[in-house]
Formats: sequence, C-alpha cells, structure tokens
Amino acid sequence: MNEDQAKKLLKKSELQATDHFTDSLMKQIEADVEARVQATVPSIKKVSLTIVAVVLPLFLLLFFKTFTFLPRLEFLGYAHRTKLFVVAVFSVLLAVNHLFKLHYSAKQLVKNER
Amino acid sequence: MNQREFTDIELVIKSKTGDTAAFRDLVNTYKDVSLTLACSILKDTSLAEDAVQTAFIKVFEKLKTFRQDSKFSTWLYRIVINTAYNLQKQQKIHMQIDVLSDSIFEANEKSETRVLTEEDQKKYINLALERIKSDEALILRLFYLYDHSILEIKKITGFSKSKIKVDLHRGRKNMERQLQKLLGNEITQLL
Repeated sequence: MNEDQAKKLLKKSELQATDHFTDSLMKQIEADVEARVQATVPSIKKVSLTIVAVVLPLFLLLFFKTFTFLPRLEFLGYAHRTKLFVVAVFSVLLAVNHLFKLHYSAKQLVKNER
Repeated sequence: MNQREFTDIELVIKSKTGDTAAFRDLVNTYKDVSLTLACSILKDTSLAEDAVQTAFIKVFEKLKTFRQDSKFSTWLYRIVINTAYNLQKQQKIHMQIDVLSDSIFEANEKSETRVLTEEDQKKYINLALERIKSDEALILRLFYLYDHSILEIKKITGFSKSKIKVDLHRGRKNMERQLQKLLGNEITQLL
C-alpha cells in the first residue's frame, strides 16, 4: 500500500459521535458550573490566615496584658499562663479541624453533584 | 469542519468567562475528531465516547490555564489522547480486543466475493484499524486523515520523530495485512 492509497483509505475512517453526545456532555458541564456556584467552597488558605490573624493578637494580649482596663476580664491576667496556653491551643486546633472537615464535605458535595 | 461564526480563539475566550454556549460550539467542532482519535487508542466506540466526555470536562475546567501559545486543537487532542491512554491502562482492554476481533473476522474471510458499498468499506477500514496497535492507528489517522505534519503529531502525542516515522511505515503495512485478512481479493476494491 503506497502513501496515496493509505490516504484514500484513511479518509474514510472518521467516526461520528452519537446524536446526544453534545447534549449529555453540556448537561454535565452546566450542572458542574451550577454546583460550583451553589457550594462556594471557602479557600482553606484564606480562612487559616484569618484565624491566625485573629488568634495571634489575642494570644499576645493574653500573655502581656493584665486586663486591668477590663475589670470583668481581670481574672485572665492572674490565671495560670501555661494552662491558659494549652486551652487556647486546643481551641485553635479544634477550630482548624472543624474547618478541614467543612472544606472536605463541601468538596465531596461538589464531586457528588457531577 | 463547517463555516463558523467565531474562531477557536474567540470561542475559547468566551468559554473562559463561563460561556457554556461558546464551549458547546467548540465541542460540536471537535467531537468527531476527538472520538476518532480516542477510538484509535481504545478500539471501542462507547469507551472512546466516555474518554472524550472526560477529556472535554477536563478541558472546560483547565481552560483558564490555556495560554494560547499553541493551537487550541493541539492542546485539546493532547488531553483527549492522554485521557484515552489512561483509560486504556485502567481497562487493560488490549488483549480482549485482539481475541474478540480475531473471532469476528474468521467468518468474513470465508465469505463470497461481493461489491463493497461505501458503508462496508468504512466498516472494514475501521475494523482493520482496530486490529493494529493503538500508536500506529493513532499516527495513521493524524497523518493521513487529518493531514497533520510529523512535527504537529510530535507536539500532540509527545512521541519522537523517529517513532512517528516508523509507526507510519509499520501502520500502513499492518493495516494492509489486516485488510488482506479481512477481505482477501476484495481488497482491490478499496485500493
């Protein structure tokens, strides 16, 4: 078989997609787009940064202030610093864990919607 | 391909903004080519359709990363081909297809000489392509059916120039051998 014969034969070898191909594909893509709009998954990076931005000043406040300016919170200034630190760290870890869980379930939701 | 209102680039730009109607036009333009390429690898039309659907979804999701430094079609075909090869690995269909094809064709070899219609010719050509190696069928179609140059095929498939040239030569020989097996003397009607 020479080049021309091969070309002549192969020109007859194109396949056609089924009639509903485009419709079913576009339905899937449009559902994806809609699901993504509905389940706006918060960026884990942004939320983590926000937590750090809020928690860090709080920690500093907790350690270096005696809260004399806020009589109701004055007891914090006299509390055991190590215990306070453990409680604070534990709370932050819980919050981050909760965040990861939320992020994962939101992603699953989007995946299942496809 | 039909005369179109927008060029690929215009449709890509529109699709990047989430315009699904523009993406539909791209799908309609490239679905048959993509299916034919995927089928060269997977040797099964319905599996190839699945691969092409997956590929188009990937394309839609990754459209923002397409930097227009190459043709959209080259980028699309690359994704289609990679998706098809991945699916082929998952399915491990290669051997099953060979066994199945052999049993189908035994009957045809003994059939009487008849005039082949256009439809028959197309069927036998595609069956012959199903019986040769995926890489060979893919390269034959890219080169002879879609008139891509060896350089373009290199970009699309990632194969080396020498492999492409060897596969073109071997593919032609193997396709002829398969047609000979399938059609016997009737092969003269095709050539």
